[in-house]
Amino acid sequence: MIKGYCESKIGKSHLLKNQLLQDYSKSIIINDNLAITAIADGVGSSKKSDIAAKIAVESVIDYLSKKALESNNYVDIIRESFFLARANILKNALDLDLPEECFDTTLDAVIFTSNEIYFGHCGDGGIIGLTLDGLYEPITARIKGTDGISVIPLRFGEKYWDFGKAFSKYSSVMLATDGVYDQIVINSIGIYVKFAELLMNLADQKYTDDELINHKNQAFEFLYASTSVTDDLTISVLYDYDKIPLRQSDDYYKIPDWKKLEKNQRDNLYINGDKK
Amino acid sequence: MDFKSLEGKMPSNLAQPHLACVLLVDTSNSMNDFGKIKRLNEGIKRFIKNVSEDENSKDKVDIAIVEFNSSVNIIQDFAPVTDVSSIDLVAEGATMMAEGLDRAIDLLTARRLKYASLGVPSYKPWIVLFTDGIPTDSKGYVESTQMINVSKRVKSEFEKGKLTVITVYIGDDLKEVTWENRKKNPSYYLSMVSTKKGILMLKDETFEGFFDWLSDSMRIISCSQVFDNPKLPPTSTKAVRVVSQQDLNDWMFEDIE
Repeated sequence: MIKGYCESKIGKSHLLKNQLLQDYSKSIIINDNLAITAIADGVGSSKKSDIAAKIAVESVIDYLSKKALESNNYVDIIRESFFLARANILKNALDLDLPEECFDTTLDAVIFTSNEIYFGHCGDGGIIGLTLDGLYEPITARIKGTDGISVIPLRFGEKYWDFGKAFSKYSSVMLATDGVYDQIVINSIGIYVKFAELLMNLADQKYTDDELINHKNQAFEFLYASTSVTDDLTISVLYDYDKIPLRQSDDYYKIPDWKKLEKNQRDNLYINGDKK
Repeated sequence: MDFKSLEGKMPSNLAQPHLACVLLVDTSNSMNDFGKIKRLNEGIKRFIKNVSEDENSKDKVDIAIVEFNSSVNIIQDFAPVTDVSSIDLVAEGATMMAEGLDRAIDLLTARRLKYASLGVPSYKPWIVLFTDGIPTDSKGYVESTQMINVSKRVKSEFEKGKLTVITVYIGDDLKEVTWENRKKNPSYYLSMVSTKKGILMLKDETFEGFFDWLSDSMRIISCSQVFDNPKLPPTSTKAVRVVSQQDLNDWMFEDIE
């Protein structure tokens, strides 16, 4: 049986400036063995990105919820849903007589079946899987501009989209926009396993629906209170209630030595920073 | 499972964006006049102190200080603002402004690549150019061609969204640019390289206000998302527009020909 949670919350910086929530997310559990989810992060500099994120997610969810019951070619239908999302955004831009770049957004989508992950990905958020062996794997890589910084939105087209079926068998999958994703997938260490575990290893908790909502609320409260993230926050988790992943050795869950990692980063950033 | 077990154990400083800012300072001989260099040293110290004490910006702002006179010198390579030691700039020599600006852009380009290679997000970097004169070569002869060339580099970086240049004239005698006076008028050269509308003019009474504005701007950017374009506070000293864009373009074109 598949269960999950999905939520987008406005970020601290957007709250301060009375801006709108620019993330959007939605999940539908179609049956015990099939669920779909999509998240989008409207690009901050783009005027109508909140609308774009909503159109993208609603388009994908609407399309997949119909097609996933008709076809097993999940990768193909996710790809089709991305084209549809982009077309719907463009149509909206034309209707409002605004350039398409006013509607820039990222987009991630997953079809989660019995322990398989099919995905579509565009932008600097990402998707993480928890295998039945108990390993946390990034399923996607951040897609950014050549400067390594700028966001590549859905508008840039298929060349910058990524689709596929993840290799392993999975107990759980998590989609996150960059504010959250960057707290979990960290360049210097890979996945911050302990944090990922709290967010997505839920099968052995046997949560009721109410407990699951409570867990989700705690996750967002924690992200607000304990991190420097000021961006909007989106997490969508789907998991197989009946498949508890194996436990790795304790070392695997050990919290990294952040102070040491920060020092290493600082050393690398300011290696020539002495007074001359 | 409880999120409380992770309190204080999040990688807050690893993924936070950085803001690179070069203070590009004219330390030519004329900066000794009317205590300008002294006021500038005090202003920079005030700025460093303000930013270092601000919770939002102190871990994000990286500062470099470059001076230009008869040569260009990196007084302080990029360092966290909290690590920038006390500076005491001394004024002497000519005004190699174009070379200074070139060096500042080189430094920022390298810094941006450094951020990208380490996966550190970064805001659009700043150059704040302080001067009281016109660009010269190392011997003190007016050098306009090189300044026009570097202005093209500034424009290109600005259009790619990779640079902000604030130009600050130290003195109260900015003149409107005319065809006749342009080559001896600081306004002509500062207008070429400013990415904002106008030149800021620092007089005795406006020094402190300007450096407070600069630190406030760093704070506001530090609180924003990398690709936001946050509204900065108004400056206490008004930006002066001393030449129309059309005249500036025409005259630069003629001067480079």
